[in-house]
Amino acid sequence: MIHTPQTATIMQRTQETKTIFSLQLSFTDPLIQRNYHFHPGQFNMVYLHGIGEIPISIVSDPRHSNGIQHTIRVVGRVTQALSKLVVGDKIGIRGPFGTGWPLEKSIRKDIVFFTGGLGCAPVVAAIKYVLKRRNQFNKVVIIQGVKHADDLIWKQQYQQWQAQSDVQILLASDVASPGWKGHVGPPTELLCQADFNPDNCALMLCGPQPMMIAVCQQLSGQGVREKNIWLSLERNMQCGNGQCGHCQIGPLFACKQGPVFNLEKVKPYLDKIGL
Amino acid sequence: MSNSPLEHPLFLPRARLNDLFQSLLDHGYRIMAPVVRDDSILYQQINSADALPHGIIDDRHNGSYQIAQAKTPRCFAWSNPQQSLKSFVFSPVEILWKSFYKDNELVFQAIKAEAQPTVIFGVKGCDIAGLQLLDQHFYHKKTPDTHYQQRRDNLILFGINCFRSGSQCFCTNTGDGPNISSPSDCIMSELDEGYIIHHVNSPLTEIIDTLQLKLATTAQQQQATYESSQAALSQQQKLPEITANSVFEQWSHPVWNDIADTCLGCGNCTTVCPSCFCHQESSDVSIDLTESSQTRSWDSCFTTQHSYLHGFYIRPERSQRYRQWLSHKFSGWQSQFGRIGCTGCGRCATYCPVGIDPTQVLQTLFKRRGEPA
Repeated sequence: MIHTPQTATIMQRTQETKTIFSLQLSFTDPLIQRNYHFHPGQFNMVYLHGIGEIPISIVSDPRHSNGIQHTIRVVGRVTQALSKLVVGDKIGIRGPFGTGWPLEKSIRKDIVFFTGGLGCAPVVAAIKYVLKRRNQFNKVVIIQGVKHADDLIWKQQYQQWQAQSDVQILLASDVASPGWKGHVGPPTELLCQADFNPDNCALMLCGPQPMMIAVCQQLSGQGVREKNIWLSLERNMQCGNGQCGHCQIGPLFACKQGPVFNLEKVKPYLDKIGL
Repeated sequence: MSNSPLEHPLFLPRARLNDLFQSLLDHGYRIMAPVVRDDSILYQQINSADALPHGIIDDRHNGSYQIAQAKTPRCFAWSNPQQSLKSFVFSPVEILWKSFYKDNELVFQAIKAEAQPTVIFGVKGCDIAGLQLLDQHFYHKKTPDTHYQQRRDNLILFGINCFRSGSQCFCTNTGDGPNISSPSDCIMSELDEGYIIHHVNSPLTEIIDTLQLKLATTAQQQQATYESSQAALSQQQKLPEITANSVFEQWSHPVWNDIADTCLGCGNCTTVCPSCFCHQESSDVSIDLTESSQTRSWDSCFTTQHSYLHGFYIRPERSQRYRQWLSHKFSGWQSQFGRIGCTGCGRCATYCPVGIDPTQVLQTLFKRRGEPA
């Protein structure tokens, strides 16, 4: 599973937006499927025969028995080819790799998810995990920012979450579209509205790195300690095993010590251009 | 494995070196040793000590390398060969696994690395240390690289203490030479009349025992100690004091842009470096699309592609790529592996087409105000 892929079948395919789709996968070997365990925030290397292999975060619930779900945006050659697959097609999976979100450590804390752009896939599994075990956590806030209101994927999902009285959802878009009810502007402007206790919280951030740096600076001003902030960082990943060297952020291998990092650990390297 | 020295070092007369070679061959080992090829010193498979580079010395400077014939009977009178040991354990190109369709099912097949018991004869301290660094990265971890492991388990290292420092050598600064300090199966010193054997590990103990060697004399041992200390004293390059953070702390130093004006971004330094481990994976498909080979090949952080991330490059500028290499090698490694990723072999400066010497870049980087450049 780490060095050589295992065959998985596409059980379901969902078109989320024009360029984003989700694949529900199941290993063809039931034993492998049974023994496959992951933490929200981890990723798989997804391989399409004859095309190539890319890292994709896992969005399904780790306790869900319906296999693995990946949500993928068409950005390059491999994602383009993956988007053309249909139910029943076979692909290869290596993984899971990397670290996950600190969910078990965050029980009885206020949880704030902050996501920007299309980078919400790595936190979706964590959101699902928390909402499924809602009574284990205190307040839950989800802040999502997009460039354009039409970019908001999982609209139905957000509507469902919004309908829950015990979850605060704050949406922001740089550009509104007709009917957009959320904030117009950068999502950082919503942080002051987020209802959470800075002394007993876990913040989970995902999205463009400059946005996360801005969020971290603002949170520091709001009295949130660095050890309570977690970020999912993206880098070129090819081996998944901390060997190929592409994913390094300073001395950190994002595929092994990340992609979810505690701010304290990654802060010295976060704002260095070119790392 | 530790290098515990023999209480009484042995002496192998030069005329009997072939007896050792024959014994190694009889025990089924393939012998890889330095030879002269294409006006360079390179490792090659040999069956006789006659093929060693007798009387050859090397002359290395920033951006230049040549060998010359000298009046010495010695075979290891040069500083280090063009290659390190990297390609013996980490192949420049190799297939990791294949995918194909069989009975309409997608099948994955792991490809095993082929390896045979191999003696590498006459390795200098910088390169044994380089191998130890690669061991840390590929082998001594929870999920070792299976290809690396297979090759590494089949290697037997005959180290030789180094008595010649090239003009770019600085192994005394990194603690990796000129005497061998990293684990080896056998450690020798070469004198005009033959070889002192300082240390030998199983399974070589039995082979050395059958040669029924005499003890090295005190004078021979003193000569070896003297020559080694002279090699150390002749090293001119010096590393400044570098911590796990210090190169990162110089992120905005003007030296990065100055270097980028000269550096060609060719990646020669990363290729010849004994510890550079970066590699890329590609899916190479047969022309009829039925079979695909997942191939890994050496990569270099000097390529823009190395930092590619869905549509953009994290390090589009050459200055950023040079900074990535140097900051990783001298600071990042310290956090990752507990020491710098450099063993002082000096190859990066020798084989740099424009003669950039990292020790000089580091000196500039950490030059205190008021000090001359």
